[in-house]
Amino acid sequence: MEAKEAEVVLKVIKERRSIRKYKPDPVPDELILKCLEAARWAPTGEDAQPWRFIIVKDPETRRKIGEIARRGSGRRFSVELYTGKMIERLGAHAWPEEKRRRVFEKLASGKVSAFLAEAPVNIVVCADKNTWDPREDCSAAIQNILLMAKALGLGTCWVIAPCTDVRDEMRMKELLNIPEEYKIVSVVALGYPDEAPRPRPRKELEEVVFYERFGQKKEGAS
Amino acid sequence: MSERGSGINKDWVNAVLYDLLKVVYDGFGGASKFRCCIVGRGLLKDLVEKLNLDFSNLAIPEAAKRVLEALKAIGVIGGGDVALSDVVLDLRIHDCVHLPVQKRVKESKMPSFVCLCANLCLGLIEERFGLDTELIEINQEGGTCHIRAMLFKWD
Repeated sequence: MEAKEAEVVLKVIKERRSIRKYKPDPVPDELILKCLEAARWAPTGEDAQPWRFIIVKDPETRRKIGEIARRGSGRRFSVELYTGKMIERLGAHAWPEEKRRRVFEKLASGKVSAFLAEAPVNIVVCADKNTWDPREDCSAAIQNILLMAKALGLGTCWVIAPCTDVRDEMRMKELLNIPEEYKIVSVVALGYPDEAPRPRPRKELEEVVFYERFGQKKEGAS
Repeated sequence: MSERGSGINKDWVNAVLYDLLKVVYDGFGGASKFRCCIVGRGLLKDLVEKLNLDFSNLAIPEAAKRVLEALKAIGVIGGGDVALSDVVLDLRIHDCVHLPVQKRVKESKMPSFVCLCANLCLGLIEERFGLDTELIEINQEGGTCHIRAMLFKWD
């Protein structure tokens, strides 16, 4: 692979965004399958390939998934707001009052995750639990989906809201008839983007990279 | 002859519980509380049958109090108090057999993310009152665990 191609890969990685607003246009099956083709080439421990992908287009099923996600996010964010952790996490102390109220209301209502209902496609990523690294393998597969979708001009959002909580995961498994021996790792919203979010700030490499031992900076670095 | 295991050593049980909590926390991190919120709830059905528990015509705090009384009756806790303020349920559980686990958790760097007694109360509230629940926090001081949870009724 040439350096030029590496730059293309990095460009796709850097320009991917989490899209929460989609055009209603349907996504052709061949594009969905192209994303899943990328997914199945993800690295997988012991060659387990524990992933199974459920393509959900049915509006009523998506509505139900969106509702599970809304309630789950609403519960969690309400508690985070109640305890003040959310203000800390978002660094919201310095925000104007109006912005803080607006953002917090959206988070506590769970609407931040309910958009799954509006995305034309929900890809539910399940993992065979009887493997060694089901979450790691599926996470690699999901990242491949996100990057391939970006390269195809599609938008995605990796959403854990409908399955972070075991109670919600049980609701999802019942809704989608998922057998006991599989767990849900995440849901990926997929569609044509109807927004262009700005990049979120990233920690600098110097802050997250250590040498030889945890916390050890490169010699000579301040 | 007593049934094998009927006099099972509490230290053994609590040591195993602590180790299991650590395994969960190492695997799920901050999401551990979302994975453990139903642990122990299966006991509620047994308690209802064994102790003929009746929750009809009870408000939320009284129903939760009845669960705690049942746990006291089977020797899990020494007692408990319940209060409800708006949407926040306040449980104070005294002298729980699992208190050493909470103490160890507190001493370690793990946050306290599960209380089996609270799980039963919250499970009952979800089932009988049709509300969603979410654990806010668990604070252990002396012989008491103070647990707060939020209750939700969605549109």
